[in-house]
Amino acid sequence: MEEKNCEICKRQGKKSLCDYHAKAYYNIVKNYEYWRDAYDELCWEEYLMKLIVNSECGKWVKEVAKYLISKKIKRLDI
Amino acid sequence: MDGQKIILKNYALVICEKADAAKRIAEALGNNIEVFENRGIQFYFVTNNEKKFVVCSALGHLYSLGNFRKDRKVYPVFDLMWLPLNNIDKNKTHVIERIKVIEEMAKNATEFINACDYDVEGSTIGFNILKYACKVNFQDILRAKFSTLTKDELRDAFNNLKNKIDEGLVKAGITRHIVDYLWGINLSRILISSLQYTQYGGGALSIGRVQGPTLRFIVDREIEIQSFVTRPYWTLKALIEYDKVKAYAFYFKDRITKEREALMIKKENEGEIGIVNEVKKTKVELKTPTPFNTGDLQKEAYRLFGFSPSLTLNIAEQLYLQAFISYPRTNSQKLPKSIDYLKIIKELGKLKEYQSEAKTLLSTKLRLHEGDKDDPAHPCIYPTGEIEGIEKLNERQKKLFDLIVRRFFAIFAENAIVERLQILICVRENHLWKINGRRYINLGWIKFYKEYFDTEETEIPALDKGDGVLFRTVTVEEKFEKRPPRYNKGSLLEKMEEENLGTKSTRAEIIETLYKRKYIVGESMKPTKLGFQVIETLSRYSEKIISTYLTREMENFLEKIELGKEEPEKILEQTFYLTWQAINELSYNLEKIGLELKNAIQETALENKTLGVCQKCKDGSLIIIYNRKTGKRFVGCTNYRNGCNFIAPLPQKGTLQNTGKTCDKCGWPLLQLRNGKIFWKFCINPECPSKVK
Repeated sequence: MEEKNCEICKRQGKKSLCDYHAKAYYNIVKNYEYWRDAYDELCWEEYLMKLIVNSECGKWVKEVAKYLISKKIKRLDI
Repeated sequence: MDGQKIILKNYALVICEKADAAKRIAEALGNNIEVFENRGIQFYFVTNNEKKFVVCSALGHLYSLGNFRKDRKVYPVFDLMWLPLNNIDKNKTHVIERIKVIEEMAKNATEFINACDYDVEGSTIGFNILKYACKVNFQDILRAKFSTLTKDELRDAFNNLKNKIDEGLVKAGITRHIVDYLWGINLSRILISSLQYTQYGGGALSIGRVQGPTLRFIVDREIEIQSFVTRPYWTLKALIEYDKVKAYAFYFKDRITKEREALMIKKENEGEIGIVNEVKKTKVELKTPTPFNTGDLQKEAYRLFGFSPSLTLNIAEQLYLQAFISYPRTNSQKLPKSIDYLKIIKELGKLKEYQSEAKTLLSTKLRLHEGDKDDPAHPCIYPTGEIEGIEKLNERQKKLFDLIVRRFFAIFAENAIVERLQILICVRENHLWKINGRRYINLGWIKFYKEYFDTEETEIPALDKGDGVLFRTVTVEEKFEKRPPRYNKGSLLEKMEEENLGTKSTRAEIIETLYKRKYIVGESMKPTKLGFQVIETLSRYSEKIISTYLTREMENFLEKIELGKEEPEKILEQTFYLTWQAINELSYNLEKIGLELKNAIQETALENKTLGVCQKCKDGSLIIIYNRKTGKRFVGCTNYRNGCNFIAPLPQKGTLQNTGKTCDKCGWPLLQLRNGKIFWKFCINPECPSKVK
């Protein structure tokens, strides 16, 4: 498979995100439903904003959230 | 006696591990001790029941594994031999003199006694000296086995000398050294060699059999932290009133997972009258703690005093050499059957600070509580009852000694009993609230350990079943799940123990090596870019190097050799094979490995040198600068060409670490200085208010 650079940290990998940012992305997607139910119809963008300002969320999670907002992306193919 | 030519003959040569131990052993063997000095090295001559002894000390290992290829970039290395330590480490020049003195003393000796610490390392130290310096066969070596340096126990050990009792320990020790040497030297040399492809000469890199998997724990935890997505939840607290008494009640369900539900509960309960449904009292026994082994003592000293595991072991070793405590490197949570507990308690009771505890214990029937873990070589860590000279201990030694004494007292006491109280209040028949409290009914062992145990009680209001209480206000609080904590020295040590990585003697040292190699920083351990890269690179090209499973398997096998249940050949064969395999895997990718590591070394160095925005010009960055001419270091601003003349002096000795934190008083960056085992944080601002006397 062709080598690609992570669109966030430029680290080399096989897909558009490196393994670390891909893991963070996976966790973001996995937890969305829980957050949506917790706050009653929380939209994707609001969810990402909440993650960015939350002190418990990891650095890679915040970086992925900012990236998704800046690119207006809902789902990544990783 | 220095300078006199005295010919001693027909004596037993006693090899001890340390100078203090040699002196104590000589003192225990007889009253008329003659001190000799040869080449500046002291040894003792003493007679016991007409038997003559010459007691000398080794100062740790005098021999180490090595090879004749000095070039650090040459690998693989499979030709190895035991060499005097000065051949391996140029700083250990004193070793050759000591070996010569022991060689001379061996010539007229008729008996040879290994009196080094009775464990894997001690047996190996003594065996190598007797084998290489004294040219004695293993079957001719007598072994002294003791766990304290008290006169009674030492005399007993020398009256019961035996051959070959530590055969398993010696075999395990030698095998461990070979396995670690082959693994460590070859893989570390590959990492260093990989850098030559990048024209980069700097960077001290190493990887060891235990070091790799331990670093992996820290890196894996960091990955978990940085990719952690928290989840929200809500808690509810109510201010209740009853008969003008106010108290707080908490909603029975600890976590509400939906905001709307939490707000609904608030609405339905605020201003309502709740009825006391039940007043529950449950008695819970807090079990008497087990005696200290090395790991338990290290964890407790870290929790209570912030002592690093290596510092604790160091202090405990000092206490052992002064005969105040038993041998501190042990897995055992059991006390020896032979010791006189009453005598030890009585002796300790002569000290003012333990008078009352000793009196209480002596007035009751002693019931000993032991743990499950055992060690064939040594019992748990306990005070010996020796108190002469105790007042000369320094503050750290006093703290650790006190902890060991109080734990020793506690293990003879009964379980503590706590009464847990809970009041359940029902509102509108569908909401349940609770008030929790606790009080101690019997302090039991805590009486002896109260300095180190939180005994705070929580009172609850005097309410009975059927009483009505007003829920004056209800507060909803939004909370988030905490991310996993970083390892600290205590929790990492615990993890290594759980996974059976390393030994009680080596774990603390391995943790320190991770700091020295700049793989991790901070008390709350965070991997540096280099630490991250080492794990990433090794897992990509040869994952077995950092495999916990493989290391644990080897550790189990070494333990079996120690117990005489296995022979070394199998593990040595496996090590040769695995090392060779790992060398091959890494060799194919040297250039890539070198490039990855070089970048990480440079990024880590830059990260450590850059301290943040200059508080003077608010524009440039503060960096640590090394003056090439003078070799001195200081802090300067990158904006100096544009006129910022900020400069701050730095201590010239020790390793500096960027803490990433700022000073509470002035907001300038805080640096950490590490000199030996001492950490010290300081603000770089020369005019910081914290520095004004």
